Amino acid sequence: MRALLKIELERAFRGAGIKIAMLIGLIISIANFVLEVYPKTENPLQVFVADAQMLPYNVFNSWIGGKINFEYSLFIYIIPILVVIPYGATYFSDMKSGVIKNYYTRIEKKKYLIAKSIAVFLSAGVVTVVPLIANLAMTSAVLPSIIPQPTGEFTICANAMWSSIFYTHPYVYIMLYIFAIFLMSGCIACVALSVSLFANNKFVAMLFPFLLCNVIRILSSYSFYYIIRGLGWTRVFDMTQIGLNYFPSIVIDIILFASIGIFLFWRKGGRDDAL
Amino acid sequence: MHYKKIIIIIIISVVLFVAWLIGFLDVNSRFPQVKCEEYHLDEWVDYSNRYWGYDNLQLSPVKITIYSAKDFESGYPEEGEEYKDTSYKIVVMKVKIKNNSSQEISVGKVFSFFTAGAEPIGWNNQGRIIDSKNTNILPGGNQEDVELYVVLSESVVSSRNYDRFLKNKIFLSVKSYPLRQILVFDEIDVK
Repeated sequence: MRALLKIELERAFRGAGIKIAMLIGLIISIANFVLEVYPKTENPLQVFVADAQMLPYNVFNSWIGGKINFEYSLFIYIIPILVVIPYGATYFSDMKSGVIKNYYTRIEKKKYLIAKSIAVFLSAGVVTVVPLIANLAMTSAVLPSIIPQPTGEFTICANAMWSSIFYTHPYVYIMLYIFAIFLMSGCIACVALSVSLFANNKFVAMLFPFLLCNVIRILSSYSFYYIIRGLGWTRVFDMTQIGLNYFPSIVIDIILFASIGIFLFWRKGGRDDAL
Repeated sequence: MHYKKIIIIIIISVVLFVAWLIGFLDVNSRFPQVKCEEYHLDEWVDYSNRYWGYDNLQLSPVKITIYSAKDFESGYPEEGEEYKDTSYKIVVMKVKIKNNSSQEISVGKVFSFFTAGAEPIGWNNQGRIIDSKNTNILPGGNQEDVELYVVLSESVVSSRNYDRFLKNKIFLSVKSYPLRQILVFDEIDVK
């Protein structure tokens, strides 16, 4: 199992897919830094009024996850596509090319499916969080890390998830949120694996997670119940949390996508005949 | 060849880390963390406001009361009228303000720079002064009790979060940076 996992991880992390996806993410991340953060570094006190309830420009209201702007919206929007680029469709390719037969004649089917899921999950998570961490690192090197105060400058309100952590340990909040994004990204990418079992085209498998995410987002937006409304992935990935506490929505989303992407894949993939 | 690649990656990583560390330490030494001063009951904070040209003022927190919209309306009919049919809660903060300057000051102007807040939950809102027509304070050490109210709606603090909110430090923020000064209301009276 370890050797197989090593092979799968090497395929996932050394392939062209992860480089392309990472490059797209990093371009958005760097564009955000250049357009939004860097102009503030010249004078972080530019709009600061000493007697008003204001802080200088700082990391937590300037980095890509600190406020909604074009780059962050774009990044969130393409996540369901970005996460499947590295390795999401390789089960389909393995089946079509016949590589899967080489695996199945040598090792247990279940182990291959688990290793494949882990590789897809991890590559997707990395592709999503690396641009965020890169932007945070760049921003924290040029703007001060002043602990946020509830003075109206930050969008995270009292009802928001982990607001108490944000206003006391903002870096912990960011890391927790990035971890949630990592989990969610991995689960979304794994949906492509399940779809590979039914699809007859690689691009169907790759684009289905994006389609599914959009269907959930659009349908949930009609709900009056905030937990259902929060199921749309654009809300889950939005660290600025303008709305309510979407923690239950994140948990439901992760369970939902994991059920489709991981458990269905293991169950159906384990039963299907590949030879 | 393989080792060469690893060594290059390590060198680049170390250079990037050192560059980040230098930047991080430099910017945070130029803009240090906020130093916070809390003022509780019977403690006075000296206050000046360059924007309005006010100097030599002093403020002190007195008490905080949280009303239901209905109770607020019966206690403060003029201000409460607007909220009487809502499920809002209204936070009323009472503050003493002393004018040691040589000019008459407008409390409305002073308070327009303040924000009510609760930590660590992260609630904040700007208050409105009760009896706002009668809030000028004459110079020469005159002192007034000023009340301001802040609306607590469901979208800001939900009923599920309300008990948690009451356990927070509720304050009126007077200054934010680099020295943070807040008037802290220790005991909350819930009507």
